[in-house]
Amino acid sequence: MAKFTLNGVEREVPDGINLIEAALLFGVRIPHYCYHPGLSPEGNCRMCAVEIEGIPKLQTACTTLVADGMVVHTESEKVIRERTEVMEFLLRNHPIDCPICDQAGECGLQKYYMEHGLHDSRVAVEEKILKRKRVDLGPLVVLDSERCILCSRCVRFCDEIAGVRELVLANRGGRSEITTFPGRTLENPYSGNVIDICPVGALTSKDFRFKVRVWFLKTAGSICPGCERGCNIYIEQYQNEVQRIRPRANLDVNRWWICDDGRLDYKWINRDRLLRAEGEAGAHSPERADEEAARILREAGSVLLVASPRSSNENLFALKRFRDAALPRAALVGGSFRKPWEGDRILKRPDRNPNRKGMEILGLSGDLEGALRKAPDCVLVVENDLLGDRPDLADLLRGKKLIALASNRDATAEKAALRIPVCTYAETEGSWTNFEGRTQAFHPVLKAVGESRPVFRVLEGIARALGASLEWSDFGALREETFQAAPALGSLSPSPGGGAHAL
Amino acid sequence: MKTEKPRWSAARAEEIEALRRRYPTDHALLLPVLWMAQRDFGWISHEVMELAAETCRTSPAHVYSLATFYTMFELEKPIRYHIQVCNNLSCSLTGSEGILAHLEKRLGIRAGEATADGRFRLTAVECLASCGTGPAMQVNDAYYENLTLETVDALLEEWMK
Amino acid sequence: MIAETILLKARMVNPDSHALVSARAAGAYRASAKALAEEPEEIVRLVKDSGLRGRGGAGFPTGLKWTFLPKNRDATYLCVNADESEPGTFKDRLILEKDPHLLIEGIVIACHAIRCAHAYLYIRGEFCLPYERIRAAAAEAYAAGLLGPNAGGSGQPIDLTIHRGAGAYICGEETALLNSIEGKKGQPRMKPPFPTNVGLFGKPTVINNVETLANLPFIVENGPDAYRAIGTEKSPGTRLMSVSGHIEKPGVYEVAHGVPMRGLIEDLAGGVRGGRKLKALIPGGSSTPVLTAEEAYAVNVDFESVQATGSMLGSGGCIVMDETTDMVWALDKLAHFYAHESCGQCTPCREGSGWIAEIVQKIAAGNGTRKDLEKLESLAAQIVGNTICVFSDALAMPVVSHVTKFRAEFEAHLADRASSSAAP
Repeated sequence: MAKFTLNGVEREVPDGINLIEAALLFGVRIPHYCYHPGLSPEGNCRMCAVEIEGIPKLQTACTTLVADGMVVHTESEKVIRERTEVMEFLLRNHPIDCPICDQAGECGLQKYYMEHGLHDSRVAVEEKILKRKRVDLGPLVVLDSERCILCSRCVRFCDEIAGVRELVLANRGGRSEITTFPGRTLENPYSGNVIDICPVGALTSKDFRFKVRVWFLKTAGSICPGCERGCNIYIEQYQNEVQRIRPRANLDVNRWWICDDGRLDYKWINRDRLLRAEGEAGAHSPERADEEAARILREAGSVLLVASPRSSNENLFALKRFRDAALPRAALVGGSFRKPWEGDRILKRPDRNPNRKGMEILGLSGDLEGALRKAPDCVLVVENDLLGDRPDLADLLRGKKLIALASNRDATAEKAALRIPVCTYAETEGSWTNFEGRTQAFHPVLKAVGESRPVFRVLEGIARALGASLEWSDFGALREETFQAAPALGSLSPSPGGGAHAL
Repeated sequence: MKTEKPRWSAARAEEIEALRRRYPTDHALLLPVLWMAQRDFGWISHEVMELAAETCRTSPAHVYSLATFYTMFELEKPIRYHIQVCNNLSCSLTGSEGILAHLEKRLGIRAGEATADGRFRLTAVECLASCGTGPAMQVNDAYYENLTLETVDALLEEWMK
Repeated sequence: MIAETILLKARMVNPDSHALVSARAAGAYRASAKALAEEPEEIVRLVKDSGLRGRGGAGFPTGLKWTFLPKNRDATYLCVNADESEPGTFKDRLILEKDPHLLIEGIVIACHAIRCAHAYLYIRGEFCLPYERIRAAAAEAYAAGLLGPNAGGSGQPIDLTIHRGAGAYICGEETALLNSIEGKKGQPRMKPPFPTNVGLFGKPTVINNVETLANLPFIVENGPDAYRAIGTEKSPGTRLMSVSGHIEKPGVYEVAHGVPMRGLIEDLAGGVRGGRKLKALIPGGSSTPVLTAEEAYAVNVDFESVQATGSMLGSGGCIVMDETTDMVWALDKLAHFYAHESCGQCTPCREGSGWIAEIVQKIAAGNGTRKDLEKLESLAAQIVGNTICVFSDALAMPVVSHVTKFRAEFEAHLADRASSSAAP
């Protein structure tokens, strides 16, 4: 531990941390651009310069480790004046793009100008250096060189995290510019992260370009469903449509990053949704759909319930209780035919389902193909696009009754005799357990789309129509029962945040 | 017509390996390799940068950042005579502005430009450490000092042949 | 009348002074042979006692710098700074061209003293003849066994690798030089850590200027007292002064520290050209504040005397300007230089250097306003104190000194000077 004095108050901090992190422990936010807790520090923006007694020149807080006896001033006159001067230098060549720049509302220059600048400009617009704008840096990223403050976070990210030196600073002095090798674009599968870490609108998301102003977005903390890693994310919506996904810092899981696939894995939430229940005779109200499902199930000789590693622990538990309460002779097997992709040593896991582990812990894993080959009279599929992943299985199910609880009009839903809409992870509460056995909660950001209901509510309805008793007062009650029944799920893992990543 | 990828000659490749033993890292070879490339291929094209990257076990983007940071690498096209006139204080005090203006007129290009046929590039450069023998210019691998309009004309006559 | 004190230039008058056979005949490698027979610590002591100060610009005591190396180290590097790019300076070039073996001998002595097995000589990319000469000299030294696995028969290896720069003044900054050798852009590093702790390839490293190392043979051969007998107490030894500009006999003059600047200019360098009057003088390269004629002729050629005026002896690059010089035009040249050479790493310098150059150019062209002049002064103050290296200080020196000492000329250039309230 080290004892140091911060703005007149003696504090104790763990050894080996820099002044930005140390100050943050006590609520003191030292402004910065180039520093990022997940990257090596450089001290080039000079915004975090603070006064340390005994040293005549200001020192960058990001590169200075706390030492015993250090006396630090973060709000002295000298420091405040210095911040204003750095702001003036940063804004000298910065284009007045705010009205058309996507970064507005979450821009480091806007933020710190209001907090530390507020100076009158001494630069005429015609004097500003012109650079390349609207440069295509790859499938996810657009570069505007004029807006760049040359903090080099993006360069360090590609080098240190993605492991490829794809982005560099070319030229020298005031003509310096971020660039890829001429003719190339970013190829690393984590390229989108530079969008988040760029403090300004130099690197922006192609996908999000000109969609909506960020202050209109509603945000929820969630988990990426793309694979078994369970990266923490923010999911953000406007007018009940998901607009973008951003990583949420979790030092134990994904640190500050997500892969590009995960970043874009939301469009299906907005498109091709199953809005209301449909059977062979046409659309059904929710109650009518539940009754129809009950009828099919009652008439069937053999029934197979198919669980999915995409379902939440709570929905999986509800399916178990549904079988026990309403269809005790039905088979219940969970599995997925979703083709795995190549994992890597950064975040991606080969299994492209978020809850294989949870499904295992709840005892639902099994030989799904084997169960299907037994050709049951009726198959009730919950959140599992069997026929989309394995079109050949359609032969097995010919002439059988297929009931699909699905959020989208996927191949399985389309082939089903009865399809009932359920909420995606973006519209309900739930938890998934990642490959490490870490159980993490996700939270809804959307109101239920169309007439979709949470899976467990649909199961309640069908059970009722079958004359069985299955009911939870609310989601909280379901969660409590789930975790009590399966202690191996552990407890909900918190998301230890990532330090000074506010910018 | 597809241009062939640039390759080192056998002798040059051997020289590079001998030099590699003098440094503990491959990246340290970058400047020496870029100089060899400029000599062997006449300029540093994108293909040459890719070759240098391969030789020094790094990314082409890294090479690009170096080639554009330093001023002495030719990045546009092969140039026969790169005339670099010092524009700093001591040379200016002894008449380099006149020398530069004269060259612009004779060559028909402004400082910073090259002739269309690539025979001449004219650049105003910073201090060449020839302050005591100014006005001075560097042309390819030689310094020309104590310049007068006459000596400049005599040189141009040779180079324009 | 002052005269040159010849130490470093001694062999340069000889025909083919750059060749080993000529240099050896005149005494080269006697001192290094002596040094190699001594304990390294003894050489460090000698150099420390001699009071030798760095000749690159900063003037830091050389022996003291060597003692900063950690006691228990697994490797040490020596980097020879031959990047000579400070405007007004052309003396390292002279050593490389005319007596490269003097430098190599100094390198051998230094390597032995700091237990370095591999020295890298970083030479600016523009140098043609100096590069040819040092390469040839190194080859001769290897062939003669003065460098190599058994340097000078000492049983220890001393290797020398010559590494060419490619056009970047900033690579003369110690840590930028290290980065440049390592294959990175020549951008300075944050200090601490200092190169003596974490330097080239992460190892303890000493960076010394060419002229600094060229002093070592004399010190080893004749001892620190003989060295101290020349020059002043705080600035012992001689100095290679590069004199250029409006001067009758520009060139490199070797003087004992402490001689009057007036003597250097008028006795040795022939006085201001054409018999004109001196107007201004930059004493130590463009990064040192300019002196008025009065200040220049009151000063001696040593560190402390020049420092007392608020300027520095720096690299010894002495630029002479006569009464025909437009000081605004002169500053325009320098401001352009710094904007061109800023590495671009940190905010104040990257943005400030270009901004300042633009304003100076505007004023020089007659389009500047009073507000521009005020802006210029405030920016020069703003740019210092919060950067990774002292390039911004170097850039601010000429700006502040020109505007302060020749204010009337700047005012006269203003487009709105008629409305200015200050009387000329």
